[in-house]
Amino acid sequence: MAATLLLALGLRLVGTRQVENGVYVDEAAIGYNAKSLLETGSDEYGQAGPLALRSFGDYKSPLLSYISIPLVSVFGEVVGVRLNSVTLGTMTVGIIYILAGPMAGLGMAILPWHVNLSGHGIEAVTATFLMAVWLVAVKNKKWRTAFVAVFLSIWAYHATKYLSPMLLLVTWWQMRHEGGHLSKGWTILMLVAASLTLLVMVQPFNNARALGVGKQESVVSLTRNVSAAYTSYFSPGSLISGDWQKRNNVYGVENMWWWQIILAYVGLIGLLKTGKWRKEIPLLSLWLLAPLPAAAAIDPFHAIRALIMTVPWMILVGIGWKKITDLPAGRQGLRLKILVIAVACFQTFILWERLTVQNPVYSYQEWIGGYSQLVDQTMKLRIKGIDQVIVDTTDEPAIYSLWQVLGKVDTNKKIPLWGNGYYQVTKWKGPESLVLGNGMEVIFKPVYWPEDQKKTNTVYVGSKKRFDADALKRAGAEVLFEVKDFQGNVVWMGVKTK
Amino acid sequence: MDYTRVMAKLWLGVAGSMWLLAFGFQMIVASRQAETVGEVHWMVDNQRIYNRKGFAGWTGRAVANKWVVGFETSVQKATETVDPNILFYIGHPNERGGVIEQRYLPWWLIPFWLVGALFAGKRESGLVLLASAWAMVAGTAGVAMYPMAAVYGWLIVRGIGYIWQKK
Repeated sequence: MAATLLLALGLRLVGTRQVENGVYVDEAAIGYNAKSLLETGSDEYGQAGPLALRSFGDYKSPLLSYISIPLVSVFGEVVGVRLNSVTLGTMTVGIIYILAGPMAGLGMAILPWHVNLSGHGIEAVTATFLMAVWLVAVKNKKWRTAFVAVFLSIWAYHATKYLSPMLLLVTWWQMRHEGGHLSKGWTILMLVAASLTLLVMVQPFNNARALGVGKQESVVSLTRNVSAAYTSYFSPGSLISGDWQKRNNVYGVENMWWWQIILAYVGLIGLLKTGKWRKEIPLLSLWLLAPLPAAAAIDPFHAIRALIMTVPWMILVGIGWKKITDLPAGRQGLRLKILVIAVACFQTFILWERLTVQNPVYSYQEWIGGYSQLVDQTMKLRIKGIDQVIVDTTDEPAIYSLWQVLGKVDTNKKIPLWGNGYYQVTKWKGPESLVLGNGMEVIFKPVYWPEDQKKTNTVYVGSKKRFDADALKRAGAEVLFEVKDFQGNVVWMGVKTK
Repeated sequence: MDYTRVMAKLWLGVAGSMWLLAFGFQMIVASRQAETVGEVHWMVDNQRIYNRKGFAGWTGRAVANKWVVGFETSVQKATETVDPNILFYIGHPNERGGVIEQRYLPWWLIPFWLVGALFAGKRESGLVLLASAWAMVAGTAGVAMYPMAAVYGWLIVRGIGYIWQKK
């Protein structure tokens, strides 16, 4: 087990410190809010103890920010929130090892889907950990732990807001079925917690991300699209090819290894054929229900939204492995074990290379690579003689969080609240400007060069795509700095008008 | 062991061997494609130029070569032969680039297919396995998806049959 955990930890730690290779806006927002909660007791808007992080209208689940506070205080916003995910990801591997044996643990340790995402500050990693805790608690009849894990998971991620209430019912059913019970005090506590949670969860701000789902479709078209999306989470083709977004996959490897898919389906068929599925209702419920919220969003296979599925998939791998190794006895069984372990070792080696070499190059732009250099260069500018510093928001509209983190914005400087209140759902909107740690004020707006070139003594920073070399020359603008990717292509730049 | 079981096992063995041959052939074809060669060059360049430490020598070649890339492409193709999204939803929502997807089975029959797979899989598992194995051989060898569509269609009919009998 120690070797499996070390392997899991090693693979998940790769790249967590390489901030220059890219930080995504969501992990920056979670990290900055954790720092703000630590230093001021309130989030970036000054809201004390937020029930959801407004985050410019995204209404992120708050649990990850709260639990990241200790590591953020030691390692900073980005690395702290990433290390939190690494820790929870590795602990998830340990739980799966305990639940379904060494092959399931090893499978989770080297699962590219989970390895990639648990190296980053992503809410779904916390939810996946809590689902693993829930499953192990239900299996061991630790009903109180199971209920607490499900309640916490409601605050962990958008998908679990809808999934966990269903799992609460599963827990209750399983507890009654197994002859378990909660004490009177705990039952009252659970009912109060359930009522309060329900009261918060039905509020529009908690469903802001889901309100637009399927609005412009007929019932038949909606049913077809949702069922197609749902089916894709069980389809070997989608499980192997993964997500359409580069940052959600590891370059050049399967999202779920081919032998894991085979073993998982062998495990499932084994459960169904032997009738043992009756003992695995919680596992099968999680497996069947986990992709529902992701499927309702209709988008193609989404690795983050369905990350919870990795838990039941890997447990099925463990069950399938037991089924297969039970069949051939003696030498044949040993040969089979050696073969699978050899394949897993080689795949680990491939995964390591892809994570350290290919992935940083392949998904450089999607992880907004090089932006830390852009912010550094901007902060080094001598403000004298410059009227304004304008940051382009055309390509990355949610870029404010990166400026808050990389620009070392003081957490005491809160963002003014627009609209009717913190929890009042309004149109997605970022701040118009931020004062960076060195006192420089940056203004956020989409840059339109034919108009913007007319402003004198103004610095524009943003994507190379906004600044055509000929247009810059004609306007007499000066290129102040450029940030290049691994291949030497300019991706970000700063220019100053006459 | 009765004669039928022996014959079923024999045909399954033959199908398995044929599938391995078809997969091997796919791998050879994939490894020689221009896209594969280009991808390998790109990966080796990344190892040598952008990340000089660790993977520049034989270790790098062991994980970035035409066989590894060809294998990944072939695994992808092999899994497509059983993909319910391709068979029921014209590839939606993961439409494949450069492929004109076609309709094999109507999507609303998927519940009957599931019932059929559950019941037929339990009572006639040998037959399902054998038919699927041969359909996979055909799919992996590139003979379109019709054989697998026929197996899925058969499961749909069985599913409807079981539901009817239950009534």
